[in-house]
Amino acid sequence: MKWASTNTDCPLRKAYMMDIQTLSPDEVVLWQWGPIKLNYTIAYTWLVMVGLTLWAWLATRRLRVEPEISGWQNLLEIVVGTIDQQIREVAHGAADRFLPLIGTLFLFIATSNLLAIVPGFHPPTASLSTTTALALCVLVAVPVYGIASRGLLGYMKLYLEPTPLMLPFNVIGELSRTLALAVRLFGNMMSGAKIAAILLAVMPLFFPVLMHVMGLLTGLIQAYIFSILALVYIASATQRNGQDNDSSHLQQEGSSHG
Amino acid sequence: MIDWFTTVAQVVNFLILVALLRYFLYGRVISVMQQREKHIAERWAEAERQREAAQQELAAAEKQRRQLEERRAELLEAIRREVDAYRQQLMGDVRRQVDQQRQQWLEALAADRDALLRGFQRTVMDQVNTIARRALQSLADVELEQQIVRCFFAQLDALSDAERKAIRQMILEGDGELTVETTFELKPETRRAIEQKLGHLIAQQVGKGSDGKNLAGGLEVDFTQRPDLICGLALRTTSYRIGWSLADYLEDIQRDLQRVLDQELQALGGQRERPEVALVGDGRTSGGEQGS
Repeated sequence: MKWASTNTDCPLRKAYMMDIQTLSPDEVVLWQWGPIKLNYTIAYTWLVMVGLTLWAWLATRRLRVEPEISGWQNLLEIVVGTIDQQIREVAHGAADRFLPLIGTLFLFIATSNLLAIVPGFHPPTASLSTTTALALCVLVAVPVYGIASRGLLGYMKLYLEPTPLMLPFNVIGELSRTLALAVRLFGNMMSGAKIAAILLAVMPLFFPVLMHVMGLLTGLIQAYIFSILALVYIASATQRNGQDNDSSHLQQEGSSHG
Repeated sequence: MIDWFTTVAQVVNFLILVALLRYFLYGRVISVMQQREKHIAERWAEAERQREAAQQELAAAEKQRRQLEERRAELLEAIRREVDAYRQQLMGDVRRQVDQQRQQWLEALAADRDALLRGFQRTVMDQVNTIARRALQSLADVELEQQIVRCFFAQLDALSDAERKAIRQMILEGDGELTVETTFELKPETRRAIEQKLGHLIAQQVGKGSDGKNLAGGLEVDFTQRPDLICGLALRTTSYRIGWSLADYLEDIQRDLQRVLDQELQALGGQRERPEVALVGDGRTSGGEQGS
């Protein structure tokens, strides 16, 4: 077991080295043991996880049922309530089943993207491995929810619609949209981080601030798009035929974004 | 580009995060929010129920207030009527008492006036009478009485048949007792002349009747003196009296005077008793308007 190195041994130096040449935080490896390695992606993911869990734990320690609540609880309820409401609007009720997955997707991506503004923080969403992992989760969640909702045969029949001839295209669509999910988020976050790094090198004053503000906006929009698309995919797999139109409409709308 | 170990690690990380947040965040927050919503709904329902109860109570109170108001108005109206009636009664009593007192006063006044006038009248009459009486007494004498007797005869002669018949009837009913009253002592020839004249009068009548002779024979004339006649002659039976005397004239004058004075007094009293001013005003209208 030894500190793996690219060019230097010091972690701080490594953080500094995470620059224009490095395309992904995966490449900055902090610790390695055989195939197991701790890179920036995993490390900052843990940071985000700890932060989110701590925030949730601290904020939910003293929840009050009474209408007079603290500011923290108010923020918490606004966030969770908004997500819950969005899910209800898209999925036409039954938000409880989707809330943990969709909510966590949104919170994780949004937190990672927003923390990008902190100097030295490298958002894990700028790593294609992370976005792929999230897209894979969605890829798996769609049939899981679909089968839970419609049964195995009912879900399988979705691939044969409108005609069995469409089966290959449906399968391809399933895979390509997963790929699109992963690449869209990665591309946006990576480019945001790279543009910030490049601008810091070229024009260190004022302009990077503007880019960071735009980065915040982009990060939030990407988090929203990712989670809402995941929701639409899952919802379209679980809902009855009568409700599919709304979902496919939203699906098209979401695809036109990234 | 894709580090598959990192990808798998991230999948695991993500699933762990889902589990953590599901436990720490969503379950609690959603539960609290649902509880609060339920709580608020309960309070809302409770408030709604209380509002309805309050409205019902308000309506009941309003109804009760209206009833009280009506009852109060009725009572006030009744009291007002009662007071009006009582006032009317009091006014009537007072008016009656005032009228009565006024009447009594007027009557007392009239009585006083009448008494004064009567006293005055009586005094005047007495004076007139006394003066006349004195004057006539000093003028009267036997000669004058002779003249009166002649005058009496002339009157008897001038009587109509009906009058003569009445005198005769009067004498007959007097059982033949006849008294002639004079002031002065009559001479015997005068007495005889009177007896003759009366006898002649009765005989004239009896000649036409059935029992005239008996009477004419038994006619007794009693002559008496009465100074209070002043001067004159009176024919008297037990129940009737005719004659001519100054005293009669004086009595006639006195009667006429009395009558005229009484008429004057009555006319005067009628004028006075008419009410000139309404003593008690009618206060009901002004009082009623103030009350309303």
